[in-house]
Amino acid sequence: MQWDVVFWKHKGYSKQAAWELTCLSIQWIFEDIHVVRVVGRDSRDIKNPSTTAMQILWATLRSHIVMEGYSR
Amino acid sequence: MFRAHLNLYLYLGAPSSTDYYPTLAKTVAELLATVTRLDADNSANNALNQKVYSLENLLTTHEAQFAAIHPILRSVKDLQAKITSLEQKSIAWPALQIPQDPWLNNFAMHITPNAIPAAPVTPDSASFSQPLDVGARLCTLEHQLKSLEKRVIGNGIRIGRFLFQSREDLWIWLLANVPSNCFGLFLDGVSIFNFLAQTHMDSQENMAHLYNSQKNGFDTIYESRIISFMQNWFPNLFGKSRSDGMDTSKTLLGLQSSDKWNLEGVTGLQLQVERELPNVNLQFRNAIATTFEDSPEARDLSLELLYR
Repeated sequence: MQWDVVFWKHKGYSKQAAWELTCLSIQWIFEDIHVVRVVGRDSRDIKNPSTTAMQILWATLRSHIVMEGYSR
Repeated sequence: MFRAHLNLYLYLGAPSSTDYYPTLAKTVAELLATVTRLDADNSANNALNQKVYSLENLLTTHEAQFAAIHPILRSVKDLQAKITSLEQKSIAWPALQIPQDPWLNNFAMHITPNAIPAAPVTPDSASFSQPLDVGARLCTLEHQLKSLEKRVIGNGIRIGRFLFQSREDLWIWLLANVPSNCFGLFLDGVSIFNFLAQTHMDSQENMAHLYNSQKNGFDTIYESRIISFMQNWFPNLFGKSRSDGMDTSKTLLGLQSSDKWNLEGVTGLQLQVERELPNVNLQFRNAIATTFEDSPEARDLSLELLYR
């Protein structure tokens, strides 16, 4: 994040504007992750705990795929 | 020597009486015959001895030679066994009754262009009887099979050496490899950020967490925390969004300015995260090693996700 702030400041943005742009990038990343993590939200199957575990783990793995796309 | 004395005795003819002569002559003749036979036996014995000696020498020589070539003979025997086994494999190939498959035909044409059959490959084709050809085909077939197995289809997920083609695939793996459905130790970036943002917790609140975790059927407290993390958009580290509507702020709620993240490398949330990171690392390494002690597959995947 600090490197992003420096990057935007070098582009001529003010310190606060550079920070806002950095935060915007972070928000977008977490929004993309949230899209795949949402399948794990409110997933709770009392009768079949393995289903709950599968849903949460599936969301976690999908989240890793999204993060991998950003790290390329 | 004995024979010379006997001849002299006979020459002199010592007993003059004619009564004793025939008897004596007969006895002498018998003795002569016996001596002659003994001489012959002796000669034969000597010849046999010579033969035995030569045979012994021959055996000694052959024993030394056998000791020298014994390892070579064993190697030859092993090689013969392997060759026989390979020949049996090449002979057994047609017995598989491979159906006429266009994919296999393309495969055969791709592998051995010199052995392209005019007609589709059939089990009784002569090319199957060549051991080297079959070995090369098998190697390539295994390679292609592995490539097909590793291919991600649709929404499949590949993480490290793990491949899950569907949720059902993951479910089967979960049932087989993860004890007690313990999913709380499989982390992603959001979960790790949440674990980094540990704040002060009262003992009563902590006990309530433990109680609720047990009541919900979770083996560890990590499951309840992961489920609660799934509800939120951002990690708690970046602030909590308001519950009365969508967030319209231009910055992250917990970080209104860059100084809160990093104030000239002296203070800020970034430094706190960097200090907490080794602790969370140690915490999860220990938890994974303990919980998945008998589940190497689950341990490998959780470590892969932790350090990815």
